[in-house]
Amino acid sequence: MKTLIKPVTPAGTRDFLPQEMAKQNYMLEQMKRVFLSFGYETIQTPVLEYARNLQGKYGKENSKRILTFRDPFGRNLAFRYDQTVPFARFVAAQHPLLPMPFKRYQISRVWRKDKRAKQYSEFYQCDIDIIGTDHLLAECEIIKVIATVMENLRIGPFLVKINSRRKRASDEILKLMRLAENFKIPDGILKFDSKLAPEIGYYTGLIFQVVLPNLDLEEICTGGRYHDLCSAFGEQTFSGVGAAFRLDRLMQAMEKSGFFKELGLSAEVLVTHADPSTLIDSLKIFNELQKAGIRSEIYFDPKPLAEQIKYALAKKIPFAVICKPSGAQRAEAIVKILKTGKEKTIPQIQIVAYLKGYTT
Amino acid sequence: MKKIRIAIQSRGRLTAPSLDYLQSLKLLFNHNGRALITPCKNAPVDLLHLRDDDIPEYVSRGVADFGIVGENILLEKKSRAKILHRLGFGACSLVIAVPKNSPIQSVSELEGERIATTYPCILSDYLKERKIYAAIIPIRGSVEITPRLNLADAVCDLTQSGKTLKANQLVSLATILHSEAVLIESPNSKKEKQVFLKRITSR
Repeated sequence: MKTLIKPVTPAGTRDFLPQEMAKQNYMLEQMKRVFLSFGYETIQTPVLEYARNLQGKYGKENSKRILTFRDPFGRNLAFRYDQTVPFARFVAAQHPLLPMPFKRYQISRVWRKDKRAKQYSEFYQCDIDIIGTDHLLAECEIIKVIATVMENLRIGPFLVKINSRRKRASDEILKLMRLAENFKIPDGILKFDSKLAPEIGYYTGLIFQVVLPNLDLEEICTGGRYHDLCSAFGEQTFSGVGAAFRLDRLMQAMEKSGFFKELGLSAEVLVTHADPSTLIDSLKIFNELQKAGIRSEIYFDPKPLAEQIKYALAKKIPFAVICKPSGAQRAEAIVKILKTGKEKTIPQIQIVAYLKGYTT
Repeated sequence: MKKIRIAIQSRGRLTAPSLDYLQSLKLLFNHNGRALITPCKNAPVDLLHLRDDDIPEYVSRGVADFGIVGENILLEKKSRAKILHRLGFGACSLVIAVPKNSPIQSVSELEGERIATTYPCILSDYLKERKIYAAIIPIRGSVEITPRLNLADAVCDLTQSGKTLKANQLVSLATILHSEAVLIESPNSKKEKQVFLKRITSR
């Protein structure tokens, strides 16, 4: 008898279904679009680093959570624990090739271990950083980028609490406030908070934290100015300012805002295929939809229509196109609006225009 | 002294009343109907004769300092130009209408139907606000014949007296906008504008 392998993942890691991925992708795409619109580039560092690159950088307790192992060639390696330390190594190695100031965004997975629970955790981090300038305009821009992301995600009211770790904190805050006004950072979102002190130790200047006053959630983004990125990896240090989004909390906030209810998966139209005699018409329509850039799919097996509609509903596809043998003779087709069940018969040739003009 | 520019419709239903309005402000022009720019005879003002749907663009970019345009066009173009005055002429309504014998009896029954219009933005906002989902068919003109040609099931069109609707056997389901001519001002600050602004207020 064949022995089956249990289809499980290592403790602490898990699979993600299309529904969850659609939400996550939507959120990440919105964020990326903002980052790109401000001229941020992305980079990639390996999942694996030499363990020595990461050890000693996160404090004693955190360092215990770095997932290290000895590879088959006897080298000590570690999984990426966060994006900041690999970024510092990256800058130390690549800075002659980078335009300065260098603005990068990075969205990638990091891995940690929990020895006591004998499990791992695997999650996304999303960072933006500007290095190679100590002008306060950089802080301002990071805040503006964050504000734009928050507005685009439509989560509701948010506040950016700010403080400074410098001696003359109030001067710096005042300067920032003045710049922020001309930067058209929305009125009233910046709030000075003298008690603000993020855990992260390497911030040396302005620090900030984004909170959602209407939702019962901890901060969804933290950031600040640091002065010696890379000092562990080279003689040259770089001043920079950066921020990290907490994607898990952002996701919770978006769930709470109810936005995801409306979010579809990939296709907008299912071209059905219930009768072999209408396949030619169905394929013709399908090709036109594809050519017009309308996300669409063709059903493969000529199963009963009800079954095909069930498939469309399961995939949250909003429209189904149905060619009927009688309709094909008059070059007509039915567009079924799955949300209401309404069926609209129109000339086949109008289907693309109909769907393009459909209000959302 | 720099001249200011006022944009008006070159040929259409707002042309004559726009010129009358400017005359009432004691601004005199010898307009021959062909020139694209007409200088004012008694003030440092040039008149720009433009297509009406270009007027919001000229004014919002500060190429024209003022403009006279239908509010319907201003809203459709989502223009940033500021309305100074409602002028009381050029009144019309934007309505949604269906053929007399149509099964569609109310706006809520437009779900999934095709609506032809020259005002896709205003219509889309109207439908969105009411959570009505329908297919907008953007058309440049002669909207009223589209239902007869099976291009649309309803129209969203301008009407003054309702005659065109009637002639095409269309009945109105809803008025989505009451419009009239408005005087708009560009967002730029220019001291010469005062010459014109004074005339309006002292009128």
